[in-house]
Amino acid sequence: MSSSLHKKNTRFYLILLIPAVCLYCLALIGPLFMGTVPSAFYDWNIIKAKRNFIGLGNFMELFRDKQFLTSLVFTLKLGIVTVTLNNIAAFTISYFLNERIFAKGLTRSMFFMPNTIGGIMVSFIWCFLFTNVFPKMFAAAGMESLAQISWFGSGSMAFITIVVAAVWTGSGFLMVLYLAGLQNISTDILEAGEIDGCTGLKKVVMIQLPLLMPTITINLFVSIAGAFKSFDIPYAMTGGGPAGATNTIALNIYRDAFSTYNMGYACAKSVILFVIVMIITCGQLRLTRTKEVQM
Amino acid sequence: MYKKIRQGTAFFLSAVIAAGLFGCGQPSSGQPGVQSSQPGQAKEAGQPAQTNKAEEESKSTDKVNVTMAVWSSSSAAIQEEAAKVFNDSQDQINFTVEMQSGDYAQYLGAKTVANDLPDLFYINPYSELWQYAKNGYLLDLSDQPFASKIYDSTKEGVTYDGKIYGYPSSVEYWGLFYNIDAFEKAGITEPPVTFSQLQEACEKLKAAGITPFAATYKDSWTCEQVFCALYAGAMQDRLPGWVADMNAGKSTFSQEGVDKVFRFIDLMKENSGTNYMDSDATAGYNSFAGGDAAMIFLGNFALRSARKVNPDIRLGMLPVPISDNPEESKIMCNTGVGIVVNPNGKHVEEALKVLEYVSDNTEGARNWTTIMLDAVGGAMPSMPVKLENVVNEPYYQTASQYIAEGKTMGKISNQLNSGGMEIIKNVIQGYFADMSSQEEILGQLDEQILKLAE
Repeated sequence: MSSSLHKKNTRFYLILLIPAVCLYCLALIGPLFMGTVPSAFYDWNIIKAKRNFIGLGNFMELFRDKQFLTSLVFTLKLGIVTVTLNNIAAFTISYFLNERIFAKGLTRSMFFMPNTIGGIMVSFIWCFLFTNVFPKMFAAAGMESLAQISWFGSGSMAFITIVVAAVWTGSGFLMVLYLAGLQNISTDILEAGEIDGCTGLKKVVMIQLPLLMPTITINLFVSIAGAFKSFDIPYAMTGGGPAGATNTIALNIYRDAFSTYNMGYACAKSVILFVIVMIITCGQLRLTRTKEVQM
Repeated sequence: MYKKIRQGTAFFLSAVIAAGLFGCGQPSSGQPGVQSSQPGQAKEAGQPAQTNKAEEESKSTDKVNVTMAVWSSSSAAIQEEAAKVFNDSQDQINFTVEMQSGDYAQYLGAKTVANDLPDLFYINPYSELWQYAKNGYLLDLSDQPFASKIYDSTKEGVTYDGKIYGYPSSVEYWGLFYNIDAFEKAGITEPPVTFSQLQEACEKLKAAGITPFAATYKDSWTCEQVFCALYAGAMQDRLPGWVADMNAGKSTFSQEGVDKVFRFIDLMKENSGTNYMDSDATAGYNSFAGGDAAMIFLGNFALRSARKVNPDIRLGMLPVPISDNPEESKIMCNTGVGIVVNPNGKHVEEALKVLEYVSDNTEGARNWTTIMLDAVGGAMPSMPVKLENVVNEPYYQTASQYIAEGKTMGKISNQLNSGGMEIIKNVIQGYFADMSSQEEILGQLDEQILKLAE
C-alpha cells in the first residue's frame, strides 16, 4: 500500500479502531487500573464486607510466600519450554507445509485443528492418553518400563504432560502465521540464493529466518504472553498437583482470590504478573525488532 | 461512490464484530452451572437440558424460579427427580438444581464477590458456613420447622452465635468400603478390624490377583479425606481439644500416634497397584466397581458411582483399622451438607418453601429426603426418617451400627479454620506422591494451618 493512500485514509482507519479500543478499555484497561491495581493495596477478604488499606503490605508478603515463588519459578520454566518448543514445532511444520506436499490443505487443517479445541477438552484428551492409552500400548509392545511410567506421580513428569498438551494445541496457530510469512518471501530471492549455492539448512538460516523476523516477533509475543497466563491446561490436567508442583501463577492467583477469598492479595500477585509479562514482552519486542530486515 | 459504500460496509462489519464480541462476554443469566469447566460431568448431569427446560416451563406458567446451587456429585439424576416431585406438587414455584462441575468453593467465592449468590446453596458446615453466617450472607433459619426435628449432633456445624443458619441435610460417613465378592474370592471370611488383619487381607487379595486398594490419589481431595479419617483415628478422644487448640494457633500436627497415619498411607501406596498417582476418583470408582480393586477408602458417596457402574456389586464397610486395638477402629462422620438460604435473594419466601420441602420427613412421603438418602451411596439422615431400600445393604448396616454405638470421629478439615481443607489436600498429596517425608508434611501442615489462626 502506498504511503499517500495510507495518509489519505488515516482518519477512516482510526474510526475503525474505535469499537475495538472501547472494548479494550471497558474489558481490560478499566478493570485493571480501577479494580485490580487499587485493590492490591488493601487487605480484602471477599467474604468479609470491609477492606483495610495496608499500603505495600500485600507486596511485602509476596516475597515470603513460598507457594507464590514456587509457582513463579514453575511458570517461568513452563514459559521458556513451551515458547521454545511451540515456535520450533510451528516453524518446522510450516516449513514442510510450504513445500509441495500431498493434500496440502487437508494436512494444514489437521495441524491447525488442535488449536480450535478448548484447553479443557485438550486436557481431557491428553489425560486419557497418558493414563489409559500409553500404558496399555507400551505394555502390549512389551516395553514394561515405559508402561510403568507414572505421568502424574511427580512434578517433573506432570510438567512434561502439560508441555506436550500445550505444544500440541498451541503450535497450530503459530504455524499459520509462519506459513503466511514463508509464503510472503519472494521466490526471486530464494531462487537467486539457490543459484549462488545457498540451499537446504543454509537457505533457512541465511535467507528465510531473517526475512521471517517480523513473524517471529509476533509469534514470540503471542506465545510468551500466553505462556504466562497459562491456566486451563494445568488446571484440568493436574489441578496444580501433585502437591502444588504444577501450580502456575494464574492458578495460584485464582485460588487465592476464590478459594481462600483473599482478593487483595490476589490482586497484588496479578499486578506483579502484569509487570513481569510487560517487562519480558517489551524486552523481546525490542530485541527481535532490531533483527528485522526489510525486503 | 463505490469507495464510500466499501468504507461504509467495512465500518458496519467492524461494528457488528465488536458487538458480537461484547455479546460473547455477557454472562448467561441464571445458568452459571452450565458453564462447566468439566464438560464430561456436566453432560452426565444433564444440567443444560434441565435448566433450559425449567426456564421454558417457568415462562409458560409464570412460576417463580428458585435455584439451588449444589456441588458436583453423581447425584444429578436423583436431584433432578427430587426437584421434579416438588414442581409437580404445586404451581407457584419452579425449583431447579444447578450442579457446579468445577471447584465449588471457587464458584461460591466468585458468586459472593459478584453479589450474585443463588436463592439456596450447598455449603460445607462448620468453618465455611460460620464464615458466611458471620458476614451476613446467610438467612437465620432458627424458626424453620426442620430446626426442631434435626438431631442435636448435627446442629453444631450449622449453628453460629446461637442461631441455626443451615439445614444439615445429611450425615456423610467415611471408611473402607469393600467388594464382598472380591473378599470371598481371596478367602477373607472375617472382615479385618485391626491394622494387622488389614495387612493380612492385603496379602490374600494380592495372592488372588486383586489390587487391595482402588487408587484415587490424582485428585488431591481424596488424599485429604483419607488423611482426615486416619488422623482422627490416631487422635481418638483427643481430637476435639486438638482442633480447638489448632484454631487458636497453639498446637501442632506432630502428636503422639501420628506415625500410625503415615504407616497406613504407606500400606495403601504399597497396595494400590502401579501408577497409582495417575488414577483419579472416577478411575478409582470404576476399578472398585469392576472388581479390579477390592477396597476404596472414601465417603459413602463413592458407592453411588460404584453401583451405577456395576449394579450387582455387593458392598461391605470396615471402620478405619488404624491400630491393632479394634476399639480404636471407627468411622468418620460429618454433617455433610448444609443447605442455606441467601437473605438477599429475589425470592426468599419461595426459597423457604423449597427448604421446607427439602427438609420434609413425613413418613411414607416421596420427597427430597427419601429420594436422596434411600439409595446406595446416600448419606445418613439428620432427622428421623423411615428408609426402606438402603437399610438392607450390608455396608449401611455396619455404618448404622457404628453410629448407634457412638464409634465415630469428626472430620478435621471442616472443623479447622476456613482454608484448612485446601491446605491439607495440597500438602498431603505430596506424601502419596513420595515428594515429601512424614516430617516435611507435618512441618508444612503446621506452618500453613497455624497461619490461618493469625
